[in-house]
Amino acid sequence: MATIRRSRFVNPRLGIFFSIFTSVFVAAVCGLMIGELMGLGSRMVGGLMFGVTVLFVGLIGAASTNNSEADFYVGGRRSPSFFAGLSLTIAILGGIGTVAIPGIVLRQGMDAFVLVLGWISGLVLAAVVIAPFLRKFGAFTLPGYLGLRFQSRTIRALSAVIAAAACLLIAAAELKLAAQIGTLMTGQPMIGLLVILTLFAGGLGVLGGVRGASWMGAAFAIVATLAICVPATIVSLMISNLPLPQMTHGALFRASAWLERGQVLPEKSARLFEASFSGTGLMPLDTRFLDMYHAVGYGAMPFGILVIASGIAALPMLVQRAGTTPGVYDVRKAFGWAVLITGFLLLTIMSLAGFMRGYIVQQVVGVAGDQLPLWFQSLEQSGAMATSSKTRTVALGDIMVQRDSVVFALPVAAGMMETLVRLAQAGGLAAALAAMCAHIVALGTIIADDLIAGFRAHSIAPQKRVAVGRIGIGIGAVSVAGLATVVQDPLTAALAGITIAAGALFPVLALSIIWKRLTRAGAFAGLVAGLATTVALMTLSSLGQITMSGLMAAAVGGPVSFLIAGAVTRISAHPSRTILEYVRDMRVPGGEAVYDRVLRQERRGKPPAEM
Amino acid sequence: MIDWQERKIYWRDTKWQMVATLVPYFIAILALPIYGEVLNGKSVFGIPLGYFLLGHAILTVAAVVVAGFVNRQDAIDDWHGAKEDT
Repeated sequence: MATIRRSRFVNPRLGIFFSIFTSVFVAAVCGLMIGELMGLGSRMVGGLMFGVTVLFVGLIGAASTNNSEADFYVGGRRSPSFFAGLSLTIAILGGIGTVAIPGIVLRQGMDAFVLVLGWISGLVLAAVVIAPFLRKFGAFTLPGYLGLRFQSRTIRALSAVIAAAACLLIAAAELKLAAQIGTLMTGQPMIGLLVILTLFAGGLGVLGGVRGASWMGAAFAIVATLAICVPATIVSLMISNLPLPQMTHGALFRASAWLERGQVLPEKSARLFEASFSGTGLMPLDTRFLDMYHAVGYGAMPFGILVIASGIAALPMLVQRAGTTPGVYDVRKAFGWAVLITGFLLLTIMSLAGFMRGYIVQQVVGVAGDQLPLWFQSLEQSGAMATSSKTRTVALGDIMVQRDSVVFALPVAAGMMETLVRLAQAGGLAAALAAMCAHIVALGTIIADDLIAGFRAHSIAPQKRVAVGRIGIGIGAVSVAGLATVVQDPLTAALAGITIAAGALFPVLALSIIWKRLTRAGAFAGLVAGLATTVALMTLSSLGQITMSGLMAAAVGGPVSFLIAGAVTRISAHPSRTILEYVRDMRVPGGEAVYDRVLRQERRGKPPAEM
Repeated sequence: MIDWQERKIYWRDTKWQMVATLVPYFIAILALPIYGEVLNGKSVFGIPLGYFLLGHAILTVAAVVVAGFVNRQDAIDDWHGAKEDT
């Protein structure tokens, strides 16, 4: 039996390439700073920063163009653990994690931990339960795995529809967010930027597939990390003389808490299963930061964490990325890196929100409405913040903040150069584009491989498969752009995608690995029950027919799916020997990937397994 | 390559490894938020304790848990002869 030798595949010069990319990007930012000192206008700096980010990463994407089936669908299975983890981190966090979560932290305080803990726990869950086994199985897509695991085209098609819906919602949310940030940077209309960014992500996805998305993801991650860490570190140095924003911002919360205690704020208490997050408009800071359970209920906190964690763990994009590493040990390490980097970035992101809250509480609250600090007046003009008190003393509840502008507002509040304000925006843009590319490629490969080619009795030739994949990614990009035009709140759309993945996909995916006796009928019933329950509850919640939040739909749909899948499996016939052999093989790291072996045998003329 | 009889023992050890990794982690994740607000009355390194435990501590624990899982699972693979390069 062929043995995977992982060290052979990895490009030893990757570290050098990405070091050069980082140096060139830093040089470009320094160049813009010099340009700004020489008189470059704000709009010009923003436009150039947008151009630099998109162009530099776009070059990496264009250089990843390939025609090989393995490169296009699984990045050649040769991404080193660190870069796979880096790419995975930014694709998971995305613009939602880097731009929307800080806004939630600022406005809703510690209730935002439902998102923070859900995000990081999703990676932990995937690292332990999902990714290593799916890497050994080796399927190119999540529905492809379920189809072969259960030898059923029906399950493959049904899971493809569910996975496509999740990818579509998240990609559209990220595209909308990227276009909003692009508008801030360039001043161009939203619709134009939607078209440009769709052409960018879709075009490069068509050329490079998973390989392109993976390398672009690593480059975007470098840009986003720099953009998040640089302003946070500078503010930390200004406030405490320590370049450790992750540690210094907490003390600021404590100091601000003393001032917040003097404020008269309405008493708020969330219902048991309520999880309401701030919208995109200007909303007042009417809660104390250290108070909990005013926006997320006592029941919604643990269930919300579990829903987000299981939704993240079952994302089709994440499963696809697991296949890009040379082996099972590498995928475990890649997820280890992803958890470490995500934890670091989440702490830094929370520090940005903490510093901003500190600036607001200490410099704006208690000041007369006509004597506000210049930075606040500047943010008022840009629409990022406002106060309802024009002449009297400003109270905390009078201050209104736009959720998605918090990360960009901090450099303004700290009096940094325009280039650093634009760098923060470039970080949000990079994170949103990375996630969007990853989800568009996952969506496109699902459309191509599972919905277009998946119904054929025999696998198609490698070159034709790549061509179909390109068509699928093109269709995916256009669909995402269409949906993005109607998305109102990116966070709501992304959470809807995660909820669908948690309620409909995760139970069957987890059971298919842990429980080898899970049958085709059980998996089908589990998928249908999970999807129907989750979507029905989400619809009722959005129509206001039930008091439960949409996110909580998967807290009911997931267990229903587990129970139905288990019950139907108990009363149905045992799985075939081939299926049991696949599962046993999947659980052991050594040896050839199951999917690679099946595909090789099929292409040599051996009849495909019964489906 | 791992032999047939060893596969069962290997999977049993792997399952226990999963349980030992995830159960304590998720108990901490789900229980700590209940006490978060109360713990904020105290502080560590000048940071409110509830915030410190939910933010800094849990995020650090997540990284340590996965790193420990990778190492222990690699040892299990090695012990049962299930490693990729062997």
